[in-house]
Amino acid sequence: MDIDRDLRPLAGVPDPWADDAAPLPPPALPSALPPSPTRAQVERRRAAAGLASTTIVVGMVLAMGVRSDVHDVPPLELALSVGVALGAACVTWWLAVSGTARASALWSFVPVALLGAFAAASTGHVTSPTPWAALAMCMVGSTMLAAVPLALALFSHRGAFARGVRGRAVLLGAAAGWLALGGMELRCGLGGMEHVVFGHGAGLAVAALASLAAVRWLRP
Amino acid sequence: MSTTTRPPPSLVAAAPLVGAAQVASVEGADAELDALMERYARGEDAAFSRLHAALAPRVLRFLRRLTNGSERAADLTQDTFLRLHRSRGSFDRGATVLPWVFTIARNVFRDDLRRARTEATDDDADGAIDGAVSSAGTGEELALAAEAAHVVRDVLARLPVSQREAFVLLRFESMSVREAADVLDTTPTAVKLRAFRAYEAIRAGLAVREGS
Repeated sequence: MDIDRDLRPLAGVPDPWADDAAPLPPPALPSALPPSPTRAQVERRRAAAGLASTTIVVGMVLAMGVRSDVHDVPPLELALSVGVALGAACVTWWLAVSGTARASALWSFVPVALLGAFAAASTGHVTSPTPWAALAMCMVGSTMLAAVPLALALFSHRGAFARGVRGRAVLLGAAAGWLALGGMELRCGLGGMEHVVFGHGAGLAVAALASLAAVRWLRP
Repeated sequence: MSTTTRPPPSLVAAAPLVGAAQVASVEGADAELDALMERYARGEDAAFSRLHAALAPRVLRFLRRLTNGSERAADLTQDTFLRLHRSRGSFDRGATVLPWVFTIARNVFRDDLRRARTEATDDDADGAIDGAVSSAGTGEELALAAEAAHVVRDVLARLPVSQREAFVLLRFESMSVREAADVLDTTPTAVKLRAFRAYEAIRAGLAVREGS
């Protein structure tokens, strides 16, 4: 099968509207256009949304209470785990905004791979007598933490993605989820691969899916 | 998918899509459009009227083809430019404006399809086809051209939307496969397959007409 060669005869198909389209007057210029943000305003809005998201997640963690072993954990280790989550959020957001359209679907698996590596490297200092209850609590907590960053991300990226919109939507939601995961590192000292992936990572999955559901909002 | 079948005579007398000289002037015009859009994205409101004047006829033509000649294409064109206006701040630096605008137009068309299935009236389509064949010749030639145009229009209307979009972009909008893939948010191979299937359907439709 040689599709390139097969497409050549396309030029021979008559155009039913060939002479019709040219003389048609284009629709009048829309009058009274609503105000729309310029690129600089959009960039400022996105930066403000990122800053506000981080501040709100930290505020929510402080309001809910930080992890019980916060004084026992080496500060460097704590800073590293939060820093990795923040870095992953930035990388994921950058991929959503700047990644090529075709690659965006592939890139949307990056957050999952990062989460696996993150969970494998994380070391818990606390154990729980009721691990399932703790897991459920963390799932709810991380989802709550992801909600505000996701809302701000959707608001500041309305109509932003013309192409590769599904993959980009997943990445945008995952970026919000990574912020929540960073917050959960400050909130919960429980370790273990399963707890981190399913408990702390729940917000990431929920935010990615919620963002995917809002795909029409993100399309111009 | 056979490559040995011959297209019906209606398809053989083909004009090339775009000549070499036209390509150069089109590229120059496209670069000018990109620069205009860049200025508009940066906040120069005055650029919008020039963008609209340059792009509206193409967008309207594209939407008329997708909607099978429906009068609604004018409203969809307006909607496309409103969305362009609202999203100007998200236009990527260095991006090309034509695929972006066609993507928006296609989204507008798809959203409209979701709201209500396209129902082009016979009056709209007949008027368009009468215009299309007005310069074709006289007598039998005119009748044959009108009939072929009717068949193409009918087959296009029955095609799945994804095939119609690919075919219209490649055949009537003279886009490259890569550009059409960008607009349709899919791979070049998928675009080629969709366009080829559309072509096969049109070819079969014309063959049936000529056989009868």
